[in-house]
Amino acid sequence: MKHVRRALVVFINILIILIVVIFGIKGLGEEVYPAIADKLFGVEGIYGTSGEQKEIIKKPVHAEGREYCSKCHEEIYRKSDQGKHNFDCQTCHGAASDHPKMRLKVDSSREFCLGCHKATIGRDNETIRVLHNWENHGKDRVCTACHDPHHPWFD
Amino acid sequence: MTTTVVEGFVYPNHEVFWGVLIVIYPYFVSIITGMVTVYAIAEFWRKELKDIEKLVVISSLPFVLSALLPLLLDLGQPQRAFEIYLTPNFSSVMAVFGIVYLTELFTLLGEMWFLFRVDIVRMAQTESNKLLRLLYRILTLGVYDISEKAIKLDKKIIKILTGIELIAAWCLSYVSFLFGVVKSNPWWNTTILPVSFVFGGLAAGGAMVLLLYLAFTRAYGIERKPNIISTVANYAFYFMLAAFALETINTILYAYKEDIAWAVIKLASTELAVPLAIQVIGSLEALLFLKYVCYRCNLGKIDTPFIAIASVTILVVVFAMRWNMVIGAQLIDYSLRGFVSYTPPLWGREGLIAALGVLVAPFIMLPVVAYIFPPYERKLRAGL
Amino acid sequence: MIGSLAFFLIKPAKSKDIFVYVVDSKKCIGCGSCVKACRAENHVPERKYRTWVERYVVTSNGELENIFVESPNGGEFGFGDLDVDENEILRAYFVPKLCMHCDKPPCVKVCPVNATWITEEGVVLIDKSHCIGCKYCIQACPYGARYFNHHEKVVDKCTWCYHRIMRGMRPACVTVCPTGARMFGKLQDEHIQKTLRERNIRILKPELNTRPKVFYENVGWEVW
Repeated sequence: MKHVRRALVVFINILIILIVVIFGIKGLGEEVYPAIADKLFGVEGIYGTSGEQKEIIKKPVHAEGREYCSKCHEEIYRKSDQGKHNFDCQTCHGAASDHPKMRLKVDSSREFCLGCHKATIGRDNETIRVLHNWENHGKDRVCTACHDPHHPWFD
Repeated sequence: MTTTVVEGFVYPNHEVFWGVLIVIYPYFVSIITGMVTVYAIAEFWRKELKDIEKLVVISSLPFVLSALLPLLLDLGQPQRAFEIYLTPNFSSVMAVFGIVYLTELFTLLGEMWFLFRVDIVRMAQTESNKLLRLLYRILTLGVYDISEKAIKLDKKIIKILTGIELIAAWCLSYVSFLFGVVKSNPWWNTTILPVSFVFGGLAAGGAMVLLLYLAFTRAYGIERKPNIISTVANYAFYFMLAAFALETINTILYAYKEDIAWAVIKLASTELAVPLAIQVIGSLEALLFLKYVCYRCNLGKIDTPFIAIASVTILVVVFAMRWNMVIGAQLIDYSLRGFVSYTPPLWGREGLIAALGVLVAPFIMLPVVAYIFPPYERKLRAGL
Repeated sequence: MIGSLAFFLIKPAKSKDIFVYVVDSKKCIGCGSCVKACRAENHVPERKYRTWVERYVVTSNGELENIFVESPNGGEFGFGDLDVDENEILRAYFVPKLCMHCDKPPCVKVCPVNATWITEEGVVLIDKSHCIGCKYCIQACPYGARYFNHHEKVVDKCTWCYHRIMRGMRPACVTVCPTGARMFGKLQDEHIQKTLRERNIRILKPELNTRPKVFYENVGWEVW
């Protein structure tokens, strides 16, 4: 009857408006709301491949690797390369980011070296030289007074 | 959220992420399910409940609308909330629930329109207030036909819509799947969770109908009928019984299996002592009072205090059940070695004040909806 | 529903070059350099962790094992002393943890707006401009890898330093680890293949069938 028809018309119009709005916003373009890509159902990146994945790739890197430091600090690189302290420079010096504008000075206190070498439960003797008598060894002095941090072992 | 580690080891990133607002959200959704079920019972099976049909339908609308509020307050980026419809992930329960919710909303609005059409047509012609009259005239959609034939067609369509709405309302319990599919959480990852959720909601809906019946008959000066109260209270009783039984069975199963989840759940239960006590003691008390109310109503006497207390108790009990389900399960973290405690903050978007606001929101909307779509003859206004 | 069914049937387009991460717990000394480097590289907010280190101490004084786990500040500033009788210790070790970048990620399945997905190389990423902050993925992750970023009001997690690995570098945590406890590379790389041939390689929470791509060596049963 007439009122049922009218009600149905209103309902279908509301649905159409909803669908138009949804697909309209999506169709605004990849930058605003990427349209449905080839994959669906949350498995492959509907939005990522177009938007965010490209964005994430452009992010700046803050911590370059050891080889990058060797370009200016060739001698220190070679010195440390000979033994167990051949891990990344940033482990002790912090992230490179602004360097050389920013100085990468290391905290040269005992606590800093003990951060890795102190005898604490869970540290494996075979992995690192664990200092069991850390209280007495080199008492009242900083570690770097005797040990070169880039070549701490004595041949 | 104010989460503090109480005991043991928890993953460093662990917090209670879904707070009191997300307790309210399934609570409202399940109340809608309950109320629509009572309405469907009135429509299809229990003709003596015909009087409360309009009442239940208009009362469901504020709850459906205010179910959105806790979500918008809880989201990190509420202005992007519409994205659930723009870019849905159909393997996610939350996205499908958005569609189920829309279906329920539209069906409810359609139901209201057909149910009140005769009243709207009459009021479009006789209403004195200019603004209201305009509203009614728009709502009639230009058709003023209230002949016998039209009314019979309306009744048929209402029956169809009620069927759809009943299914949609039970589908609203899909919100419990939101918790049930999270396999990482040993408390949520049970098959019995959706079932106990549905029955808790049905009980709460029945209780809400009783309360609203008391309130509306008082406000409109209508005489209360004991057989209506008796029928609804009876249904609420059986729903509550089922919910209570299911929750108890769930706990017993956990305790018997005694796998790793039980060890931490037992620990975290110390944090949940108050809601658990409310749940158990409240359920028993509500069951007792409901049966008493049924007994008295069958004798023709209506004991308003008992009805009110029983209904409020059921509502509080179901809230406590939701609290245990949502927050209780987040107190244990996935390292299964410790638990945290949760105290909701007072202010802020996720605070207690906001939660209180959300809880009273439907009751603020209700008088407005009732004014536009009166469930009973306006004896009050005629008397003024 | 239908969407979940499709999730099982449609497999992501994977290249043969998927990335894999291996952790050798024997080599971890709990220094916390990885946590510090990750925070500097990715601007991780305070009190949240994209990667962290846990310490497991298993003791026994005649009866069945007692397991003690801790992670003070995620292990960022090292670990302190413990009030434990050294003779009772059966085994004690550090376990670094991070996002597993699962092959069947439960977090991707539950995101309502498709703001997180798994790339061709097997990395699970988050699109911060689409995340609505509903925190459902945080609930779904069994490893506790995701956190809510209070500054940006979206969810965030370890990306295996996607901006670095796509340029041929390694993630920040792998680069600064002084003992080589963390290893990263393509599945076909030699150093990865060598480690994966060990028999004590295992993954965390295998019963949840998430197929994580972070493999652990030399960890006891008590780690999950």
